[in-house]
Amino acid sequence: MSALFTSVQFADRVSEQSLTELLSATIQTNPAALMLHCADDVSLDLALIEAFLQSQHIPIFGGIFPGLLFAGEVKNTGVLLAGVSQNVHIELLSNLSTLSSPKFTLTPQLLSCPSMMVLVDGLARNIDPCLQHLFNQVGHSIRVVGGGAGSLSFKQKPCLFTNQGLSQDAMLLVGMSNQLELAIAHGWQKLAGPYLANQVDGNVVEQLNFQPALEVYQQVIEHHSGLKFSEHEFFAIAKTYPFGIERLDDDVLVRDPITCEQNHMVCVGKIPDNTMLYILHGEADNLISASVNAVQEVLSEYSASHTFYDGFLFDCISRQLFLEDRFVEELQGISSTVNENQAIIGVLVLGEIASGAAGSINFHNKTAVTVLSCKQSKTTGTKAITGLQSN
Amino acid sequence: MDQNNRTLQLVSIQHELAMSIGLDLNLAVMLEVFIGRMQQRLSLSAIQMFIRNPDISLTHNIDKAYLSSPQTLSDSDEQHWLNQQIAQFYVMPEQNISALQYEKKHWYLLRITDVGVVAAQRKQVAIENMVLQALRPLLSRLALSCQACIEHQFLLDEIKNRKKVEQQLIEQTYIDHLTGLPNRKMFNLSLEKNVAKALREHSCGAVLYIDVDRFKLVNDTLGHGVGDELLISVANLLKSCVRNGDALARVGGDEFIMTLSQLGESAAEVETTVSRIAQKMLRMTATPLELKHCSVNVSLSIGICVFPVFTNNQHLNLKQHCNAAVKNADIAMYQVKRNTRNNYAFYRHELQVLSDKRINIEKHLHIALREQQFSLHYQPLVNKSGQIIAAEALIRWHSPDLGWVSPADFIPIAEESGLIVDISQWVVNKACGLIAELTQKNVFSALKYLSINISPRYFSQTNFVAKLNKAVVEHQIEPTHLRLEITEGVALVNIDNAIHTMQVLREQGLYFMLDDFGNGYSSLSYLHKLPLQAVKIDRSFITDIHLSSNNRVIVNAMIDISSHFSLECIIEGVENQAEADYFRDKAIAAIQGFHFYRPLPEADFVRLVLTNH
Repeated sequence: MSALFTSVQFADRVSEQSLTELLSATIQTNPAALMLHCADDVSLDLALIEAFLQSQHIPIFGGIFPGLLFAGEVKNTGVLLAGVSQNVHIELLSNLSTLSSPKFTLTPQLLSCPSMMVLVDGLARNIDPCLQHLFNQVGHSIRVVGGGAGSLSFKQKPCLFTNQGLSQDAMLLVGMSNQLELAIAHGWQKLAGPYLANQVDGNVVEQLNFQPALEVYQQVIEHHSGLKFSEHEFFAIAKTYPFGIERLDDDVLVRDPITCEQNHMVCVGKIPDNTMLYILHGEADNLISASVNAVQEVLSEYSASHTFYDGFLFDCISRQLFLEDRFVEELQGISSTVNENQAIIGVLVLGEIASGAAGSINFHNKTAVTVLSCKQSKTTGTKAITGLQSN
Repeated sequence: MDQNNRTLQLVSIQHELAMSIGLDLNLAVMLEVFIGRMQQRLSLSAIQMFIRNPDISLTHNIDKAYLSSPQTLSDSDEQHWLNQQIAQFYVMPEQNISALQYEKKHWYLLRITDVGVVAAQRKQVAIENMVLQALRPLLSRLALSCQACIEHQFLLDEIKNRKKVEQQLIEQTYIDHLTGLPNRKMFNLSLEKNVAKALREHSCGAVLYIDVDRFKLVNDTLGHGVGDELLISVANLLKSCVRNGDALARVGGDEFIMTLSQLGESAAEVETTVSRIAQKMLRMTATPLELKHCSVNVSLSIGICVFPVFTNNQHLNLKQHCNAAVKNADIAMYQVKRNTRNNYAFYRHELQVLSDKRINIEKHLHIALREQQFSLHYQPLVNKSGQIIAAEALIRWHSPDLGWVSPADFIPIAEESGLIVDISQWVVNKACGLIAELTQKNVFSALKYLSINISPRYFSQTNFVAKLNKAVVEHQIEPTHLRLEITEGVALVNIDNAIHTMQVLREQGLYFMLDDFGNGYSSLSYLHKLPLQAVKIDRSFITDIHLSSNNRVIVNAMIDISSHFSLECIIEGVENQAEADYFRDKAIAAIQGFHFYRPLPEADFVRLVLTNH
């Protein structure tokens, strides 16, 4: 059996009672570990969660995310508790933002896992260098997937869960025993560019083509959309027009501009200086079909050699903000592709993490990353088992 | 992608990668940034950087990746294959770019002239030749940047080595190698700082001059190895008594100085605190120190001076303040040494007076030696019938400036300063000269010997035996005519050495007499070991012996012991008839004292001997 989860439980409210009930139901399925995710909600009782985490006798991990995905819907409140079927090995990297040089050494236990779920405080600095260093150590042998936890209010606070309690400004590495395949897609199309990002400071684009970044961006967007920045909130327009970082023979890497400061544009995730940037544009149909197609492609590519079980979705919060009501179509599309009988579960994240086709670990924006639990068939090369099996 | 965009893409790749070259002067950091960017921009699944080892400039050590992302390839066979390809590629300088394939993976080797090779891996899709060619100018730029980094590193190493040597020099100049403590130079610097602060902030501190008692004894008897170990152990003990900001230094063989700063605003307050610390040090040495192979009893003499030092009518500058504090602590330490040892004392003005006197005497002793201001007086020893049978030579000093100076005042100073060696030599020559003169006049036969007092320092000279022999030979005297008086202390410094020295001289006819017997350690265990000819019972037992039954018991016992060990027994300090009468029927060899003769100037003594003859 290689399903990720032994059971998935959800409650609309986070209370002592609901946690106890969820735990009781989950424990009955005899999980090796617990995955607990909460929706970011002002009424969330962090002390209650901390006590719950510290009272667990089996490994527990998870986080607080802008939204939860359950039963084909986005849940803006509540708690998701899943029993993890196989052993996990959890390590926490603390104080990400103050690391002068993000160098860490993974334990042999972690390096021996075939896959790894990485949950990070989405508002921490140094995420990109940490992922680069993570790739240096895990190479191509470990499939990495995950996303940024935290609040859409962009206020940094404790958002990661372990048996020790809550953490912020940290990266949680969860070595998993399951074999995973990833379907990564965003569906955004190039609208304008390329532009030379000649002056960049981390995640702030200061100049494009040696001109103030906002001026260049504003000119293109106002012309394309007919909307005036002076009449609308920046993000209300910008959510439709992200940046794309050019990569040779690879899909552009999306960067989400979330705000502007003077003539500079602040994005989620680092932008390398002197890189080529495109301004992207999205259509709901394209976005939805891209994420669903990506799952289909993975399934068809491996259907002859692998048996697929359940899945988990790391979908970008800004993607949901862009798609609005049509976001459920993406959920349904992915769910029905993965498993007709069961809606996929997942979280809305502040940036998605995934091993790319070339092998390196990328920090995405506005992208859907579907995790597919699978097992290579013993009779590889023959079509012994096809299709999908539910857990 | 249309042609315009393709061109733009190539230019952008060149621009982006070119701008990531040379961002740091550290080679590893610079290359890390570059290969990271290259990996991202060219969608590489792996990238490795092989460089010629800059430390071995003539050897092309290219068989191991200098940087690698990821750190290892999952397939070790592939890595082995790649290493071989790199080695082959490196020795073909005409080729700058090479495209290879390993299973389904594409590998590209890019030469960085005179530096090394970049190996880039792409999975599935190959890199177009147009893109590869666009990388060429970058490789030249990267080579230059690498060379700059390597040269910069050489310079850094050079500076680092120079700094290391400078540090070693500083340590040699300022650190005591045995204990790791600062030496006097370093101490003076920190003392100046502390005293300056004390003057500025109107606070008080203290200088403690600490001397390990009888350290020489340990060194001589247990060896220098143990001595060194003892000093390290004492240094560690003293370290535990200082706080941050205080200073501790080793300033001499067995001498340490400590500065305790900011102890209070008044001298009284400081004295209370320092007393507590000094007592702590003495307590710590109350139990034997456990060394590697033995345990050693040790004690400390501590002299203390509170600073800033104020004088009645003299304004001191900073340096004078420091010098005065150290000098005063030293004076106080010597006071402890002269008194009880294993104690502490604060500097008082009276000590300064004593010290000044001591310094004055020492200064005049040098002059005395140079200008022959010493003379020998001779106190005859008589037998029970009152006949003169020997004499003890006693030094006298008349200084034109100081007048008559008592031996009790100048001998200890001569001993401490080392002048005693020259003075002793003068005494030996003078006494030998008189023996020779009396022998020539044929009157010495009435005397058995002339005795001289041998100081501990003179006795411990390595050429002590040779010097005595030389004097005996030069003056052509019978060795038995000269006797050597030593005290118990002389023998006890190192009893084995003492026995050896005495044995050598005895075999040559130079006999030893133990002076002040009974006034000291008086360990009977060594009495029979020392090759003595005679013992002189200390005068303190002789005074009023006819009235003191205790003294009588002791003296009788000493006479019996001497007899038992076949030693001549000599009584000294007999000052009246009653005392003399007591020894009339005792088994003694000679009597000495004012009752018979006072010490006489040489001329009077010679006249007396001639008369008696």
